[in-house]
Amino acid sequence: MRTALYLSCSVLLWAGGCDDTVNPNAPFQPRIVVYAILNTGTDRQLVRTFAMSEPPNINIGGTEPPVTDATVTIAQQNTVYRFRDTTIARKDTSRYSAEVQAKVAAPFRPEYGSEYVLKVESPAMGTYAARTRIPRRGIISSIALFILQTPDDYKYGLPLELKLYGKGYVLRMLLQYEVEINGIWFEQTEEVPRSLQGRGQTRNLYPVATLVEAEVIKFKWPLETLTYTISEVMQRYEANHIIFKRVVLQLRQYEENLFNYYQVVNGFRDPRSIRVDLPDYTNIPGGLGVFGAYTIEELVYELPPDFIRNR
Amino acid sequence: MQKALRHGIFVISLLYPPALLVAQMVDIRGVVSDSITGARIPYANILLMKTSKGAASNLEGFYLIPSVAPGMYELAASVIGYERKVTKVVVSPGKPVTLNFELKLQAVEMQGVTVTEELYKKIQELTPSVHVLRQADIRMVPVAVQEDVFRALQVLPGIVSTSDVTSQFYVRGGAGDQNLILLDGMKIYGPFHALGLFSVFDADILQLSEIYTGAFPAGFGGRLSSVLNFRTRDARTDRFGTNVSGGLLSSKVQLEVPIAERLSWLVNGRKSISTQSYKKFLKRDVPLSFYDFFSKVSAQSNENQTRFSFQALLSEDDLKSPLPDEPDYSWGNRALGVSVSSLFQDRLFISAQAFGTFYEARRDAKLSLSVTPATTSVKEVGLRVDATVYTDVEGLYHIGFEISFPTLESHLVSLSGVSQRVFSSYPEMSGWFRFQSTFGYLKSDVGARLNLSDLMQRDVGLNAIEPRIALSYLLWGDWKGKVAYGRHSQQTLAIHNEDDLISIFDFWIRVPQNMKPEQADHYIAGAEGTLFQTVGTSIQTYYKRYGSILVYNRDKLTSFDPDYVNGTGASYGLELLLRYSSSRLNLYAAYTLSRTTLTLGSFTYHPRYDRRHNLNLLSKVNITDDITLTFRWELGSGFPFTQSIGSYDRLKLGDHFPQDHESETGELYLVLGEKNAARLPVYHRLDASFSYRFRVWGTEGIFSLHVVNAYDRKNPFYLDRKTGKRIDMLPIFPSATLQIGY
Repeated sequence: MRTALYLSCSVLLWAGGCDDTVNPNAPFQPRIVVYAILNTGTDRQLVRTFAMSEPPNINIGGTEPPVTDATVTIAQQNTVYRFRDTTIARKDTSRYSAEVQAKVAAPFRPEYGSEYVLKVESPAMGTYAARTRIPRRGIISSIALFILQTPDDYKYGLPLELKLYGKGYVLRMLLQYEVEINGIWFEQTEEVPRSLQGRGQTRNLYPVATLVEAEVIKFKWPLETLTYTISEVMQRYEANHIIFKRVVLQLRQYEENLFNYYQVVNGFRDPRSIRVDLPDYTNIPGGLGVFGAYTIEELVYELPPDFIRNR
Repeated sequence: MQKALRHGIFVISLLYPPALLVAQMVDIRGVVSDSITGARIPYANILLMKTSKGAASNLEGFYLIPSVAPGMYELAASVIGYERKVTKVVVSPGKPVTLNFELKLQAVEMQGVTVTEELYKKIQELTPSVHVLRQADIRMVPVAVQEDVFRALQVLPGIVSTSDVTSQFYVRGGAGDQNLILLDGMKIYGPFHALGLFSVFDADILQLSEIYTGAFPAGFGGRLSSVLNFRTRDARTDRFGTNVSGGLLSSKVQLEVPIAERLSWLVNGRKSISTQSYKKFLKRDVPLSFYDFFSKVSAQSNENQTRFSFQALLSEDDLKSPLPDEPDYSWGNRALGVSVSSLFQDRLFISAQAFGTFYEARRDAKLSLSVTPATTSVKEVGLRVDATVYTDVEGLYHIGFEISFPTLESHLVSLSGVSQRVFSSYPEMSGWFRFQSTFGYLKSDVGARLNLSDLMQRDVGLNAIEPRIALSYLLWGDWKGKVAYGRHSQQTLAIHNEDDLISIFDFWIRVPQNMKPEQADHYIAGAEGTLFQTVGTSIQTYYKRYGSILVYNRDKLTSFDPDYVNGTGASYGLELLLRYSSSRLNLYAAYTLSRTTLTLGSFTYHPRYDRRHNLNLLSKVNITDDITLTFRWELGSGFPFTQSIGSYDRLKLGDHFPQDHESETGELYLVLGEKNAARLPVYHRLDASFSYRFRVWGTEGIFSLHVVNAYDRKNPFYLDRKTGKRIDMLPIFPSATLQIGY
């Protein structure tokens, strides 16, 4: 009996003493993170490269781990654009205070419909390559732009026709105006919502990237949203002079990888999604991030100098 | 209504001509009940002595021995915990004999091991994968804060829990929402209190719990993995009774009120009193409060074997954070049910249950940036009717139907501010047929369930028919070989993050109309008998094939792609159960070897609850008639988890104003390795309980001391990926309870 007792105690002490370690992390293998998003709207293209960190990584006050030895090129057939180091002021410094370290190439304006090959070579982290194709130029047109002169009079909306070549697109309406503050005129831009609060929405909805389902899309933009935006601006500057200058319809087309990435990291941009996980997307083999592109086309309607809401 | 009922009975009678055959032979029938409280006793063994004839009482305590030749007999009734009773009976030609048994409790209840020998044998006669827990069994498992039926059933083979903190359980590789939970026939959708620490069913209200872990009979459906059929007890009819107890978390009061002869009222209420104990479990202050309330009015007539009850369950939980940016949660159940059972013709016994259940959960986001407000609710009303037809031969027909109308509604707000309502309301209809018979050494239980709602609303064809077959063959001695097969389907399921450790907010949805309902085939084979004349032994193997199961659509890229797609899966394993019982010592050992995989296309992974080895050892030592020691030791291999392989600042690309991505600081994103490819360390834990029963001034009390994790094993609960910090499960945790009853 006594032996059994000793034996039991020994087993319990042994078992209790076990404190198996568990490693939440798999063996770390460095990977590169690349954000290269080409834009047809500018002559200056920018690429961000940094390294994946060993988890956990909360570098408050620091910055994304730079890849200092990386060489970045983007090639279109026989033309090779080489990127050089630069820094960009960070929009939000609450987590990282240092400037964004990036690489820039200029002049470099991507051509519609062309394919580009990204190559990132780092002696420390290896070589990574990815491809993207810029969508062909999209077309935005309307047979009734004139109704923007008197938006209050047209309840049926602005008829629009889009011709699209990307995987995704977004059409935004921007209201540009000038406001006089203390004798100085400032140019401002206000985005017009796609639909207004109410009717099952808790707030105004603005356009988001959407899958291109057909090459040609026709629809009407409700002008109540434009009159709402004008009223909002007038209320905001109720004691100031305001001149409404123009309405800009801006079409962005996304090539496939950028569109996929954007959807995935933003919860599929799916208001009906009931998923609760956090998936990821990349088109950079062996790496992270995205090599993608978007195009920008604009249709501008200049409002008349005697626009009725000018003040 | 009565006319329709009579017509129904007539139709059933036509279908089963044996029910109308009355020759010289007559039936002996009656009910078995407690001599003091009047409560019906299920699964009692009724034996016509010196013959091979006998019967077992059903869940309503009713038994029927068909076709007994006229003469004088002795009839014996026995069931564990009660004194055996033998009564002389004279059987005259042409007239059925009604003989009711009122059994006396044994002076000192011989509380069996978790699965008591006699009950186990009786119910497992045919169905291989069923376990039965009585109240005494629930009390036997050492506890941390509350006795709980969900914790008690975790010692059964094939059932695992992923943590000390939650009563959520997984049966033979099935997910948590694949368990059908019935309380007196009422479906309960949110059976957990306090983040899952324990269930809303107080152990004191339960009379019997049937747990089917596979190939369950045709009378049950709508879930893929298991059925937990809880039967509540009736209040005593002889006198007023009360029971008061207090523990670390809650206090409770139970009243038993006799209203008239064989009419009684049971009321049970529990309320949280302190939240301090949660801190031990959850490693943080949790301002949680809860209550549950159960009431049951029962009436019975032993003359015509009729029984009626009306029961109600209410429960409510509130989890309110003092921090303005942390969300508040609340959830609750309301359920009402009416149960009626009676012998309608000489050999036709009908039981019917009507129920209404309402589960609602709310999430108030307050100022949280990562969580949005949401509500979800399940409303369901239903009716279930089961008819048993006794035949001349040793055979029983069961025929029944179930119709219910679930209404599932969720209001969600996406992070982009869009509110949406996910709504579905649909009928669930099914009918079933079962025939239980004996041919020499072979016993069979063959039936099928017809899923009418799937047949009418989805293109499922013959898949709407769910065959259920169980065969048992007496091999030698008391050793039986058993095989069983069952097809099961499910179209109402809960959505949650597969990787959440504790799921606070599940919402129930219907499988989208354009998708196949979830479906699983269960194959079971095993043997059971007695080793060395003392050790009850059962060995079982199972294979569960998921022909269709809802899994995340890993290829979803746009809002046009579905969130979920149909995947497949498989689970298989081996279960070994050993039981030894004597007046002073009960031993119980259950071992499970299992493997579960889920597959989507070419990607296969182990779900988070896939445990390869699980061993439970339980012992109960009756030192004296009033002092008892119990021990439980659990050993389990590690659960799968996904390792982190790195982290990076993932850009969300803002709202697309030009060059937003150039200056954006991303959000920390953890890059995960292969899903669930790693395993946590081995889990083991010893729990012990000491209880002392005493009597003072006419009251009876039980004082218990419990210690959970007696040797303070550090079992990892989870690893905070962002900080790398390891959080362990319960440390050594002593507690005490005092229960006083009159």
